[in-house]
Amino acid sequence: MLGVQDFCGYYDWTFHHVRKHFGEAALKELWAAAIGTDSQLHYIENGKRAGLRGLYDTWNQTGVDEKCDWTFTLDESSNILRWDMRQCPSKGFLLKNNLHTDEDYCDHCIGWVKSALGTIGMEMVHHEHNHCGQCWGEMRVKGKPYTSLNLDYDIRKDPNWNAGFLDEFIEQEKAAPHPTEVVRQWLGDRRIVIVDEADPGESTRTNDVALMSAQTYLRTSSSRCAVLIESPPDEQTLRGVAAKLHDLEMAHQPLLLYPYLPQWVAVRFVDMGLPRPLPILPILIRAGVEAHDPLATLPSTEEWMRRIAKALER
Amino acid sequence: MSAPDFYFGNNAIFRHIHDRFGMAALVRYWRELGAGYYKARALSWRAAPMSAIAADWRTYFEHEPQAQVTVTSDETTVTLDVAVCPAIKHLRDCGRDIVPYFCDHCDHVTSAMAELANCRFERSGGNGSCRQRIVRLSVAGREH
Repeated sequence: MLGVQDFCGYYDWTFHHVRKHFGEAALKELWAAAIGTDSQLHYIENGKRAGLRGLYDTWNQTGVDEKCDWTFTLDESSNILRWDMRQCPSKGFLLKNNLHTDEDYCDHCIGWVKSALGTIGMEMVHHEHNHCGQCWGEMRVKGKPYTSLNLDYDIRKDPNWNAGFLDEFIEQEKAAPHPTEVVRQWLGDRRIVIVDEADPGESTRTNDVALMSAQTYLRTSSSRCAVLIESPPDEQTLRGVAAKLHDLEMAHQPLLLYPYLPQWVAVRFVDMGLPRPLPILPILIRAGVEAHDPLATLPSTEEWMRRIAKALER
Repeated sequence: MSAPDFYFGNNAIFRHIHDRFGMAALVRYWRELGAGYYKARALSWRAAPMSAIAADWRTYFEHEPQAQVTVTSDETTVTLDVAVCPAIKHLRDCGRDIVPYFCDHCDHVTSAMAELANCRFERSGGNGSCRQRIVRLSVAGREH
């Protein structure tokens, strides 16, 4: 029997199954139709009955049932319903159990909420999540004036907000392209070449983009390279990379990559003076390259780099 | 105890895959879920005595809201007497439209798991109460 105790684990697995067999559009359709307007029918019914307050009551009940550590805030005079999630039990299940089957589990939330809200004349205005179980979102009734809230418990004021990597949704659409597209745009016509870790200088003389580990990066004078931060990262290396970046113009800074494996997702790169690296698991999963098997041995840094290069082959 | 509303999700996903892609796609989904997502759990059954498989199911149902299930075992068989299926109960209590093939998911998911464990799965009954059996096969693939 498929129970509810491990639902979030096979929910993530299901997303990947649908994506793999039927494509990304089919997955978005699953979120919108199956979850948004069938599974979550009680949200629609209560939203129809009592507007934002109906949704507020429904989400609060869900919070009790799922033991969410969050605060929902309703201000009908400002036409706003907002949540600040401190610890999402759903994403938390995946992190606790070392699961990461589909590209981005957190995306399913907006996938169904957008659809459900659309059926009752409401919309998601703004949303962000950091893939560590923290997120926030603001919803409103369409076509009415709306004022964003300034709250003491805004999750973005939590020090742990600096962990992980951010995805932002504005007017219900993801603001940044998929990590694969970000890397491809950054690469342009060039291709990735894995640096010989023992002799990094040799490889970086080509016109290709060198892919190297963070520790190797600290030993080279390469510019315009891609740097994979090892798992688990060590603070000394991270601070070394941050110091090196600090002395470089933006155009010469490397592209930082990191696996964000469940057990090491909550690294506070920002606190160390680094930009949040791009996540590589969505790149590997999209390309059909082995990404994360919780039962397998953790890949070496060299193996991660081989997989990245393979995933970005044209 | 997890939130019972997740049973809504299963019912809705089954309906969507069935209506959009057909019964064969739904069966494939269930079987791949059993053999894929539950691979480690199923493989742990392979070398385990039936009493350990029974203990695994007993623990599983203890964490399902409102489940009333008696699990027994002998040397070759684990029997799950499901007096109250928690999924069907919650869906009914909430007035949800339950897909007519809801119970089939147990057949396909658990069969795929059982095959990895050198076992066979069977079910009688359904729609809220049923009996499920996991039967160990001999090395030659026949039942003991």
